This record gives sequence, structure tokens and C-alpha cells, in this order.
Amino acid sequence: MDAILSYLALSDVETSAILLSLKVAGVAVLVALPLALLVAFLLARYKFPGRTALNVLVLLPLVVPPVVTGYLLLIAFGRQGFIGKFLFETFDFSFAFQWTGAALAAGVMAFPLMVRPIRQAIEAVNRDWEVTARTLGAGRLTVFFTIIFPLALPGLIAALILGFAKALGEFGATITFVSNIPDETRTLPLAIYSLLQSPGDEGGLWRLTIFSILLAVGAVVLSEVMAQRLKRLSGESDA
Amino acid sequence: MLEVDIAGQRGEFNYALSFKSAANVTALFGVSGAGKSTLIDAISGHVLPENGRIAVGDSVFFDTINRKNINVRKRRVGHIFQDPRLFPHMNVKRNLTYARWAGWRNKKAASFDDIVDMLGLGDLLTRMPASLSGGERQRVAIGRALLSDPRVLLMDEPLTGLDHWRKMEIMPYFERLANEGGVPIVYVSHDLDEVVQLADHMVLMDGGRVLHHGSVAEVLPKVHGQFDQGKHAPSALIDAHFESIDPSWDMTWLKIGRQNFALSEKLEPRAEPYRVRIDASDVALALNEPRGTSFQNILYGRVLTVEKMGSAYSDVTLSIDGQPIIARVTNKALNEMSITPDLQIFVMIKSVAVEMAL
Repeated sequence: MDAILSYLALSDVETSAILLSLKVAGVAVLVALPLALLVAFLLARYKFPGRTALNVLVLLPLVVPPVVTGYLLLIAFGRQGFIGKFLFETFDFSFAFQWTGAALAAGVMAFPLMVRPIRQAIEAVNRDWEVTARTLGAGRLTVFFTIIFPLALPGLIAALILGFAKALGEFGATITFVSNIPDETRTLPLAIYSLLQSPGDEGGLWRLTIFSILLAVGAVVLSEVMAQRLKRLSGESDA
Repeated sequence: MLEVDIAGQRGEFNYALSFKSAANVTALFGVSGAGKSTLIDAISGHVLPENGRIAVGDSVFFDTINRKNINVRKRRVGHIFQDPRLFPHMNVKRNLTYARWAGWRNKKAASFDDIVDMLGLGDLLTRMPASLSGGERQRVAIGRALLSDPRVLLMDEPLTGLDHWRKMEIMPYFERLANEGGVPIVYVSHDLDEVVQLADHMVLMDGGRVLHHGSVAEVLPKVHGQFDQGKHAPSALIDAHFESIDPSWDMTWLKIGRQNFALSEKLEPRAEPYRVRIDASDVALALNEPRGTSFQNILYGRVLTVEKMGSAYSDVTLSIDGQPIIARVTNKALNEMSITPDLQIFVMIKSVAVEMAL
């Protein structure tokens, strides 16, 4: 028993990779969420010039090879990139080779997976309720926060969890954009990749693999529990 | 006072609608496609007519001459739809008070407790909409509209889709609302019984036009022909005063003018008259006082007009102590009996055919 436990005990390097992953993925989805909500709302409710272009742009990271996305991020946000240079010169801030860069890559990759469930949830909100709310005197913003937002909440939670899981697993764009630096950009998948590159630590490889699976299972279970609870809250299960 | 004079186009549908009503309850009546919903949506502000004017009391909602168009949420229109449209994620109380906490409407609004009492919602306040019956949901929707401090209540077929018992459950609340007369009501229906029960003023619509408007008693006899190619007979609306109950036969005696009238139903005694709807096809005429007939009601009246409705039959309008009633008779009978205006005649009404308006 003790042997198994000691085998499962994480080393400092492994713990660092896991904590870094949680931080990177957490920040990525929390920053991406309001943006995804805005884009999903625009796509679900409005017709405007450039709507198709926006739709394609949002879906792009899903279909383009992650390496390409990482390279484009490097071009844009690297220290010599057109946005990166500006950020560095004006705010003395850079994404390059920082954990924030890993978060940016993870956020961009998770974005399409977050927009989709939110958009579907908003589209499922009956417009009659919005019309009714307006005749009762609510302004557009109030209608959004009292009707659309709470009714689309299950979609929002799904987006958070799906996005978080995607961000945790992000590999290609991250390693291309911010490289594989221990304690800075070496997230869980990158750590597993590094262990694969230098054979000898099968124990570490297994521990990180098991941990990855546990995180993923945990996220799915959590999303199911949240969905059930929300369903009960809105009373739909009584109908 | 409700004033509507609008014209416009909605998709393929042309409309030009004009009427005025000072009544507590104005009914919009017509087949689907008559323009009732367009009219309702124009009042609420969801449809913009090309030109015209809409005013409720002192508030002008829409006026193309003065370039005025009040925003939907500022019109303060209480809109009750066929489907109650309760917000599914809020309990009854949150739904009822939505206009107050989300719409910033609290000035002058009716008391929450009064409206909850009137609609019998006291026990439902913490329930979620999904757990309510259809009738309960519609009552909550009415309460929610009333609590939004409306200038006018628009009811767009609020009882359509509910079964008979749910209708019976809600109708008394509508009547109380109509009788209190606080907020003018525009009531859309294609059910004549509802119109007769609730409305004072009636707007008869077809194909985007107003055919007739006026008191229900005036307009009701005109409801025929265009709605069913003349197959269905028109009906008349009569005020009848409660007289007594005949307990041995479970019947009620009413008085139309000075004449007695039997109804095969027990009614509550009350001072104000009951409204009785009588279909022209349930009325027969006789020159001599009939004997040995199953017709319970034999009244005495005077022929006002005779209108040929085709080669087979005519509608005869009669006065019974000043109250108009219509009889549909064949042209053959008309000819044999020499029915002409001013003729004094016996009018037989099947008591069982009387539609009772509360």
C-alpha cells in the first residue's frame, strides 16, 4: 500500500506542471468567457455586415492546425509582433515565453468551443420572453441580464467546463508560441511530452497521465451535476 | 378613450383600421387574418403602421402627422398573450413584480396585495411556472400585466387553447377586471360567447378593415354572412332582469321588458340585468298564440325589418318591449304568413338554446 502511495506521490516538477496548467487554463477561460458571451450573443441575435466573417474567424482555431495558430500568435504577439511590440513598448508587457502567453494560446484555442454552447443556449431562449419583458418596461440591457443570461446559464457553464478542459489539454499552439519552459510555460501536456522525449521516468509519465484523466473526468462530472442542478432550479424537470 | 386610425402593410397584408371606443372593454372580433393581431401589435408598438394615429386616453402612442412614436417600453401597455409567457426561471412572485424590479414601474401602480387577492394568487407566490396549471399561469400573466401600471390592457385571445373548465376558472377574474373599469381593455377573440360576456364595445373586423363598430348589442346582429357564408344565423343580445327561481324545474324566470322568459338553468338573483344571447335560428314566429308546443318562451313582439338573406330565407328583426331580437325564417313562411314591418307577432324561443352571459 505504502509502495503504491509513494509511487503515486507527485514530485515537485510534476506538481509545478499541474498547478501551472490549472492557472493557465483557469485564467484563459475566465478572460475568454465574457468575450465568448458577447460574440455568441451577437451571432445568435443580430444580423449585421461581417456576421459570416466573424463566425468563420471564431471557428478558425478549431479547424486550423494548432501549430499554425501558435505561429500566427507568435507573429502578432511576439516581442517583434505588431501587437506584441506595441504592448511591450507602451506597457512594458509581453506574452512571449510567459505563462500569460500560454494562457492566451489556450484561450484562443478554447474560444470556438466556448462560443458554440453559449450561442446554442441563447438561440434556445424564446424571443417571446424578451418581447414580454420589454412590454413590462425592461430595457435591452435589463432584458439581457434578467432573461437571456439566466436562461442561457447552463450553456455558459457548459462553455466554461468545455473551454477549461480544452485549455488544459492545449499543446500545439502553446509550444509554438511560448515554447516549453519549466515553471513558466510547461503545462501538463508539455510536461508529458518532455518526459516522453527523455525516457527513464515512466513513473512520472504515468502519474501525469492519470492526473490528466482525473481532471477530465472531474470536469465532465461537474458539468453534468451543474446541468442537473440548473434544470431543477428553472423548474423544467417538473413539467 | 381608445382611438385608432391606422393604415399600413405587413408582409402581403394590407390594413386600414379606424375606430374609437370609450368602453371599459372593447372586443376585436373577426376570423383569423382579419387584422386583430396586427391591430394589437400596433397599439403595443411592435408593429409600426405607415401612417395614422393611436391614442389611449391622454397619451398619444403614435402619430405620423406629429412624427410621434413612443417606444414599446414607454407605452405602458399590459399585453396578455394566448400563451402566458411566464419567465420560467422566476417564481410567481418574481414574475408578478418583474415590471417593478426590472422595468422601474412603481409609481401609481395598483397594490400588489390587491391584485394577488383579486386573482387568487396568494397560495402560488413561491411556485415555479412549470408547476402551475394552464389557468393558473394565465392568471399570473394577467397579474403581471396589471402590476406593470398599464395605460391599457391588451388581451390577445387569452382563453384560446384552454379547455372549457380552465376558461370557466378565468372568466370571473376577467369580469371583475372589466367591471372595475380601472384600465381599459382591448380583448381579441374569435369566440362570440367571450365577447358577449365581457365586452361593451365591439369592433367587427375582416380582411384588414373595420366592418362595424359600436355597442355589442348593435354589432352582434351583424356577425354573420361574411364569417360563414351566411350559413350561420346571426344572434341578438338582450338584457333580461332576474325575476325568480322555479325550484321544482331548476329553472330561472327572467323578465324581458314586461314579459317573462324562462331559462333552464339556475341563476343568482341580482339587480343588474343578465345578458342573454339568442341565435336567430332558435327563434320561431307564429301569427296566433301557439298552444301545445315545446317552446317554453312565447313572447309578443313587433316586426321591425325584414331582410332577405338569399332565395331561401330571411332574417326578421323584431322588437320585444323595445329589445331587438332576430328570427331566421324561410322565405316560404315569410310569404305565407305575410310578415311585414309593424306586424304584431308571437315570438317563440327555445329556452334551452339561450346562451347565458354572466
